[in-house]
Amino acid sequence: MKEKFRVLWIEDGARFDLTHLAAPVYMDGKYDLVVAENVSDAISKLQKGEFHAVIVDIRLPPGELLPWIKLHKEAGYDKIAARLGLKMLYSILGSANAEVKLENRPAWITSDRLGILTVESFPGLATDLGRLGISVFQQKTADVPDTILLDLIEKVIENQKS
Amino acid sequence: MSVEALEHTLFQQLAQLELPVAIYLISRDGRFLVCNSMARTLLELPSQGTIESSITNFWDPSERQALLEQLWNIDSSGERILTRHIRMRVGQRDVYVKESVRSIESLVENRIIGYLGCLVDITEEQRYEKLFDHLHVGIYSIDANEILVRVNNSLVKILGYDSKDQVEGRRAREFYANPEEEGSFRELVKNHAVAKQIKELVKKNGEFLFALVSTVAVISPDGEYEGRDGALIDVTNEERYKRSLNDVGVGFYVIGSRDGVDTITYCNQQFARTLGYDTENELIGRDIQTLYTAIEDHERFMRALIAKDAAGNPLRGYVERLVTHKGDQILVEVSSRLLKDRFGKIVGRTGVLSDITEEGIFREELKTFQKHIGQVLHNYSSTLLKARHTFAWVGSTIGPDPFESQKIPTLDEIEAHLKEPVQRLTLSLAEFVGKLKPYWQDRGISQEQWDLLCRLLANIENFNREIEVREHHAPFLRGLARELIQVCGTIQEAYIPREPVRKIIREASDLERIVCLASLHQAESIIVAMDHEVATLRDFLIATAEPQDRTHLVPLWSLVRQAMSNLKEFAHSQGVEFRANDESRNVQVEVVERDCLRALSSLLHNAIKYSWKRGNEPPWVQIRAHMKEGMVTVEFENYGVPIPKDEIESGLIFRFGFRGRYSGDRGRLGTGIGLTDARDIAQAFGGNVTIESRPAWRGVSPGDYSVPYITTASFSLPM
Repeated sequence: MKEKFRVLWIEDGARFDLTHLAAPVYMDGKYDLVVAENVSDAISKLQKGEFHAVIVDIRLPPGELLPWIKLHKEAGYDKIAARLGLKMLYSILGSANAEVKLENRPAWITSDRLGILTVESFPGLATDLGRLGISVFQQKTADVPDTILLDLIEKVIENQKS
Repeated sequence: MSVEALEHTLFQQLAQLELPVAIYLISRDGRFLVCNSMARTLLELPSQGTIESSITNFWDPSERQALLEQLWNIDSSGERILTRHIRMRVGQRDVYVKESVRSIESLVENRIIGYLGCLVDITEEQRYEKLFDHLHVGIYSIDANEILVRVNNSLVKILGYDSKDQVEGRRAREFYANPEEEGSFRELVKNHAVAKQIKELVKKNGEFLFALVSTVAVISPDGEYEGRDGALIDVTNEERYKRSLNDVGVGFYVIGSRDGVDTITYCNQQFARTLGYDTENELIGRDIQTLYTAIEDHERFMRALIAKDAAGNPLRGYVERLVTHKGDQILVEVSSRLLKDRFGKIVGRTGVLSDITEEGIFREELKTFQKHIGQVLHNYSSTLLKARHTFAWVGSTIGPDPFESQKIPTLDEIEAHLKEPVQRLTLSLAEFVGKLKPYWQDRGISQEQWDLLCRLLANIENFNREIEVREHHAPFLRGLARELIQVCGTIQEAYIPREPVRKIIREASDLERIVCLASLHQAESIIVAMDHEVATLRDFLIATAEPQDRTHLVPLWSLVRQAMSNLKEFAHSQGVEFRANDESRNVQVEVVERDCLRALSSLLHNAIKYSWKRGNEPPWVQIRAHMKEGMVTVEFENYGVPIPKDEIESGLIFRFGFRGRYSGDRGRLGTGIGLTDARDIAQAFGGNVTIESRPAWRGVSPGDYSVPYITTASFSLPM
C-alpha cells in the first residue's frame, strides 16, 4: 500500500465551521490529515514529526505556550491584531525577524512545504510571504469550493516537485 | 541754701511742671524720690505725696539685676545718658517705654546719689512692631536708591534667609528673578499704588518663588519720590497651579452669579483662546450670556446643570454652541459644577470647556455611519431569517429527521444517529464487493469503478480509526456516500444484479441525508446565534447614535422575562434550560426600557452561549433576582466556559471588542460588545455589572481552566 502524505492543517475553525473542507482531503485518500487548532499545538506537532505539507491560518489563538500567550496579550488579546500564525511562520522557518525563537526548530521545514489559507487578502500579506519565500496562498471566502483545502495541499506538494 | 537743697528744690519744681513726658528721680537703688504727674499716671502711682516704691518693682524680676547694672554703669560707659527700651509691669498689664536716664552726682560727696529719667509710653508702637515682625506677610521699606532699608521677619523667612541683616541694606533688584522687572515695577509704583502684582523672586538657595506684592510709593511733601513701602505674600503654589491651568488643553473658568447676572470672574488663557480672545483679561468681568448664540441656550444649559446638581453630580460632557470674538460659532463640550453659599443659594459655577467643533462634525458623521451600518445589519437580519427558513424547508424536504427540532445536535447525538446507517451501508457495500469480486471485469464495471468501490469500502471500514478528529467523521461520511451514489449510478445494471446496487444507493442516500440534516441543524443554530449577535450589534449601533430615550419606572423582572422570551429559541437550539427565581417582588427601576432589555439579553445570551452539559444532565442557566441595600440584582449563572481570573481582575472582560481566552472555544460566535454595553447601561442608570467565575469542581488548582467553571454575571440597579 502506497504511503500517504502527511499534512498538518493549522486552523482554529477546523473542528467547527470548516469541517466540510476536511472531507475531500480524506476522500482523496492520499493524505493523512492532522489538525492543530492553535500555535502551541502546531509547534508541538511540527516538532514531533515531519509533514509533507503544512497549511497555516494567519489569525490563530496562542494555545498554552507562554511566549505566544505573551504576544497575544501584547496585541490586546486580539487574535486578529496578533496574527500569531504569521509570527509562527517566521519562527518555524528560523527567520532573523522571528519574535519567538524556537529552541528545537524542525530542520525539515522549508517554505515550499507551506501553504496559507486565511481570510486575509493577499496584498496585506504579500511582503511577509515574499520575505518567507511562501508562494502558495488562498484566501478563505464564501465562494471557494469545498475542495479548497485539498487543492491547496496539492499545490504545496506540486510546488515541491517543481 | 546748700547745693543738695537747691537740687531738691529744682527737682520738686520740675515734678510740678506739666511736662508731656513722665519724669522721675530715683535713688541709686531705684527708690522713687520725685515723680511728675505723667510718671505717676503712667506707673499708676499715688497722684500725690511720698511714693513708697522702687522703679525696680516695675521691672521683670529676671531682668532686674541687669537693668540696675546698666544704670550703675552709665558713667563708666562714657555715656552721660542711657537710652533703652524696656518692658514694665504696671498692674496687670505690660507697658513698653522708651527710657532716657542720666545719673545725679552729689557735688559734696562726689558720688552718684541717684538718677533722673524720663519715660515715653511706646506700648502702641511696640504692638505694631510685634505685628510687623510676626505677621505672616513680608513687609519692607525701600528707599529712593532702591535699597531695602527695613524688612520684617516674615519677609526674611519667605526669602529663605536667617536674619534681617542678610536682607537689609541690599538692593531690591537682587531679589528679582528678572532684575529688569524691578525697574519697570518701580516706575509703575512712583505714580500709583500697586496691588496684586505677581512677581517672581529668588530665594537665598536659588529657588524661585512667586509673590503677590502690594506696594505704595513714599512721596515727600514737595512731591519727591523717597522710596516705597510694601507687603508681599508667598503665592508660589497658587501661581504654579494657575499657570498650569494655562498649559492644559482645556479652557477653565469661574463664573460668579449676582443679581441675576453671570459674570466671568476667572478664566485661563486656553478659555480665552478657545473663544478667540488674546488674553483672559478681555473676558474677565464679562456677562457669560454674551458668549451664547441665544439666551435660551444659556437657560437650557443652566437647567441641565441644576438638574445634575440636584442628583448630586456635576454636569459632564454637555455640548453647546458659543460665539467667538470674531462672531463665529463653535461647538464646545462643557463640564461644570455649581457653586453655592452656606444657605444653598447658587453663587456661581466652575467649569472646563474644550472646542469640539471638528470632533462634533466627525461625531455627526460617525452617528450617520453608525445608523447606516445598523440599517445594513437590519437587512442582514432579514437575510438570516430567510436562510433559516430555507434550511427548515430543505430539512423537511429531504426526509425524516431523527434530530430534535431546532436544536443543535451534539457530536454524540450525530454519531449515535449515524451508527446504524453506516453499519448498514458498510455491510451492503462489503457484500456487493465480495460477490462481485470473482467476475467483476465482465460485468459492466470498469477497473476505475472497481478500484473506487474497493477504496470506499476500505474508507468506511476504517474511518473511525484513520480520522482522528471526530468532528470530521460526519462530513467525511457525507462525501463518501455522495461518491458511492455517483459511482453506483454509473454501473451498467444490465450485467449486475440491480437490487444490491439500488440498496447501496438507498443506504448511502440515507447516510447522506442524516449527515445533511445534522449539518442543517448546526447551520441553523449558528444562524440563530448570529441573528442575536447581529441584532445586538445593530441595536447597540443605533441606540448609541440616537438621542437617549427618557427613563421610566419599569418592573425589572418583567424585563428579565422579556429577555428570556426573546432568547428562548436560542436557548433551545443550544439545549439550555432556564431556571428562574424571582425574589425581587416586582420592584421597579428607573431605566430606558430598550437599553435595559438589551443589557439583560446580552448577559443571558452569554450565559446560554457559554454553558456546558452538567454530567449527563442538559445544561441550564440559573436566573435569580434579589434585593439588598437599596439595590436590585439579577444574576445569570451558568456552568461551563471559564473566565480566567486575570481577565476579570484587570477589567479586560469589560473592554469593548475583547473576547476572552476561552470564549472562542467550540466555535462560538461573539463580538465582544455585549458585556461592555451591559455594564455601560447599568452604570448609566446608577448600577453596575460584576462578573465572578469559579471552578465548579472542588480541589481544582488555581489557574486550571480545563475544568468547568460556574460564572455569575450580576446586573444591579438602584431601586
